[in-house]
Amino acid sequence: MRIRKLCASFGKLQGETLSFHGGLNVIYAPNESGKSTWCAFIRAMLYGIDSAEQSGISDQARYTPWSGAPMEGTMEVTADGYDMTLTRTTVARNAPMHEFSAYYSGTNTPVEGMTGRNCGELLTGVNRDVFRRSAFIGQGDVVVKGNPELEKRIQSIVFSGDEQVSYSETAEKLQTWQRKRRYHHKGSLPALEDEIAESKKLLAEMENSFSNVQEMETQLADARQECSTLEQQVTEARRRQRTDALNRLREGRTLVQERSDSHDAALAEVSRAKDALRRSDFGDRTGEELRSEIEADRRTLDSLSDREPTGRSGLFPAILCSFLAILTAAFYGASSNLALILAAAVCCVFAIFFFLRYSRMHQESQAVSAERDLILRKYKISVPEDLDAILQRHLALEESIRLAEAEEQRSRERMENADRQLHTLEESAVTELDFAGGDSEAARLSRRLQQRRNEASELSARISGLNGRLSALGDPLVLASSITYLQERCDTIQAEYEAITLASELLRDADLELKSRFSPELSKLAAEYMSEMTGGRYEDVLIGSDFSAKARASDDTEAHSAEYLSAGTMDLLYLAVRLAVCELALPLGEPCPLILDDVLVNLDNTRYEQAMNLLKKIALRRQVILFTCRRE
Amino acid sequence: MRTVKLIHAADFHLDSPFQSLPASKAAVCRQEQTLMLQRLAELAEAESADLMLLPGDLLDSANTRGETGEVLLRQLSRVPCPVVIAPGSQDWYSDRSPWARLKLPENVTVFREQAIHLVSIPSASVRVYGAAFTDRTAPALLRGFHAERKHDVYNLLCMHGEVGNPQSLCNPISEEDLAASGIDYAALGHEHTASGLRRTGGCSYAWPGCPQGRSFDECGERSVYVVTLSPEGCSLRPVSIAIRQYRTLDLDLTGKDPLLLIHTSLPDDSVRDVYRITLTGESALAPDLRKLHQNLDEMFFSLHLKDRTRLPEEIWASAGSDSLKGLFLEKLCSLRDAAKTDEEKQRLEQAARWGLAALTNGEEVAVHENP
Repeated sequence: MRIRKLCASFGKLQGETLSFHGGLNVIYAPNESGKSTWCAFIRAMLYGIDSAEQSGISDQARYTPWSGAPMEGTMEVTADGYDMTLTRTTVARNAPMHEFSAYYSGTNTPVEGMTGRNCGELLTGVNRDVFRRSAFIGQGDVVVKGNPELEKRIQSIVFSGDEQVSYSETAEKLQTWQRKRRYHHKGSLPALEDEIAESKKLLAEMENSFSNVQEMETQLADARQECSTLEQQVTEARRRQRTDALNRLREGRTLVQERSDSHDAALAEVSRAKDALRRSDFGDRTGEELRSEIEADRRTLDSLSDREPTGRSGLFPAILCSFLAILTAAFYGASSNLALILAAAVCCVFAIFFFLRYSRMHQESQAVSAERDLILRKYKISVPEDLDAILQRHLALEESIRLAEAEEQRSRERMENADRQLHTLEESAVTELDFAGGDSEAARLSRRLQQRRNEASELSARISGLNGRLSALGDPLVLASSITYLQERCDTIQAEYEAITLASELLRDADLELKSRFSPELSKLAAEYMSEMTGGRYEDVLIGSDFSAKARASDDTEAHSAEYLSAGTMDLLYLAVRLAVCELALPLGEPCPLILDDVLVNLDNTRYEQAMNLLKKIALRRQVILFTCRRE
Repeated sequence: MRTVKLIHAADFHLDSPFQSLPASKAAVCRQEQTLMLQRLAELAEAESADLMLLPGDLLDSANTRGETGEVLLRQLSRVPCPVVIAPGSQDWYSDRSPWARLKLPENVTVFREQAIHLVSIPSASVRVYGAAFTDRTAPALLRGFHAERKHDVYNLLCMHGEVGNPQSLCNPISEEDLAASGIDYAALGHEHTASGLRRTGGCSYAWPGCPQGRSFDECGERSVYVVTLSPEGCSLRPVSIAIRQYRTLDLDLTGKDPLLLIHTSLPDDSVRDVYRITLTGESALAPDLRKLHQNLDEMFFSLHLKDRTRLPEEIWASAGSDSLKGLFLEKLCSLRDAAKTDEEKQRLEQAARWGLAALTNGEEVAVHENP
């Protein structure tokens, strides 16, 4: 194919035309004059507008005519000996240059079978991607990039096999299948593994719960058995403890009653003693009072005794004197002796004296006696000596009261002691009969019983809960079956995954081996071009399986990667590879034109000239259109 | 001595998980296991058996479901003769085991200790010796044992154990022990494949295996034994009480359509059984197992399809050709030649299938619904 003329309403181009001839066409234009736009227009005319984004903006957006006119253009080409005019116009804004027509130039005869979709491939022999990676060398896009179709084309150069397969496509397909099964945490295998893990976790929980239920049922049975035993023990302990407590209480109460009776008796004795004292003559006196009184009376009596006339009372002398007086008087009468009378008078005086004396003594004695008698009567005794007995009797009564009171005191203390004991017993009984608290055996057993009942109740509740949970979780056997079934599926898919992985690895190895075979062909041709463009400075070019390139200078022993080379040399290296790819990958029939957009901009004059010489040689076989800003 | 007829069954493994089946079908099989108990009771009645001996692994574990326990009790109570059970390695006796927890019918006797004890059953003129497993393993319980001989009474043994493997951890039993035991008939359990009637010294012994398969390791027809003891000797008759069977079928797919091949190779009565069909032979394309399942599932209780087909040799013949495919196959060929096991070879076959499917822009070799 050869491009003859372009007419473009495309980006900054507004109805501009450009004509070409066969061989090398060098179109000089300064920067920003539309060189890249012309290149893009050629591509658009051949393959239509590429709506895919390149470098962040699509051709549709990038090349919308600045004038606002519809995007359109014509391309006149010569292919297979026929001149053709291709036209692309825009009807709908969202489908620029979608309307396509192809006519044999100068006629109204459409080119049969040529459509907007297949036009480029029919004319160039390659699809859009291969064209972009081979014959179309855009500005800054000289680096060769892999593409399945390009691989097939290059492989077909060196393989005798007739397959139309690309490793990239095959690997991608295998990768898709592989990723369906496992891709990081996605795919059927991780899903199955998650499901199995979840099921296993659930099963473990179920088994654990089941085991716990069994364990707890055993514990519950033990607890219930112990409860039953404890109930009997509690009943027995309570009965025994109650009996003991009541017996002790009864004994205490009996003792209290006895002590109370004793105390009552003691009180009665005190009362009786006091009554006896009270009934005694001197019951209103205390012993000491009586003693004092008796002592006083005794002293009175003693004083009375002292007052009582002692000696002759004078009665006899009075009588005697009286008798003598009478006698003397008689004698006087008889004798009238004065002496007698005198004697009688004396005797009379004496008799009166003695009589008076007697009378006085008698009166004194009577008074003493009366006073003594009064005292003695007071004590109802006849002799003062009995006063001691009186006092002793009184004191004895007092002593008996004291003794009775002492006994009453003792008995009261005993009674109170018994009361306290009873109180203690009652308190103790309250404690003992408190079967819930306290430290008695019955209480301890009751607490143990309650504790075990609580445990049994808690166990029962937990068993119910776990059984409910187990019920909700389902049948463990079903789950176990499900796990095994899932595991079998998982194993099957895992085996597939491993088979796919193995296939991928082996295919990659095979691909590397193949590329190691076609690389020399490519490298050889690229080395020829590189040597020519560098005046023999670089002799060897090594192209990797990924189209990465290395170049070795003639004075160097080691090849260097493109990125270690100068910008100009790197451009030349990739241009050499591109040109070699074009030679090897593009169809052998009618050569596809080579479109180069400012690819020689980094070259010095010498290398520019050498590169141009190469392009001229290539242009002998195919049309070469070089857009450049260098005016040489 | 009168003739005594007894039913000898073992290794029911009630409540087995049936791990090779989907959960729903495994549940059906577990339900059917209890139906076998009913059939066992009916067999005892139909045979007018004097005794039933169940030497172990009647249950698959101590975690028996409540309803299984209920059915077990109901069916055992229906058995019209004494039943003697010797717990085995899966359902060993413990305080927590179902044997201790369940209130067994009066006609059922369970050995409870890991030492040989005697159960006399005068009504049947037999003395049944036996022992229980009290753990997953048991030592040689029969070693040095000799049963006392009584006039007109048969000495029987009911015990779980393994014959002929001195290293066994499950009550290893030797023929010498059996011969010296004074036992007329030893009803054994543990092995899942039936032994048929065996004799050593004066002792006849047998194990019936499990009455119904539970996995593809237990394929084919299975049964329980009806044993007859008479003065003339001992004889047994296998009787099937199984609901369904596990069966395997290997089919050579070379040059044939898989669906047609399976249809023409199947018996008519496959619908109740669990089948594993392994496709072998050569096939350029992997058989579409999903499609086969869709077409065949209704013909079986459960179907397991396995693809063990090989790539045709002519495909391998292209190994080494000057192409990506040729190099790929060449690498697989060298690995295949070095492979030592069938599994490894099968893995390489599968890798070849996947690689070729990708190279030819074909469909996936196997497609799965999302789990």
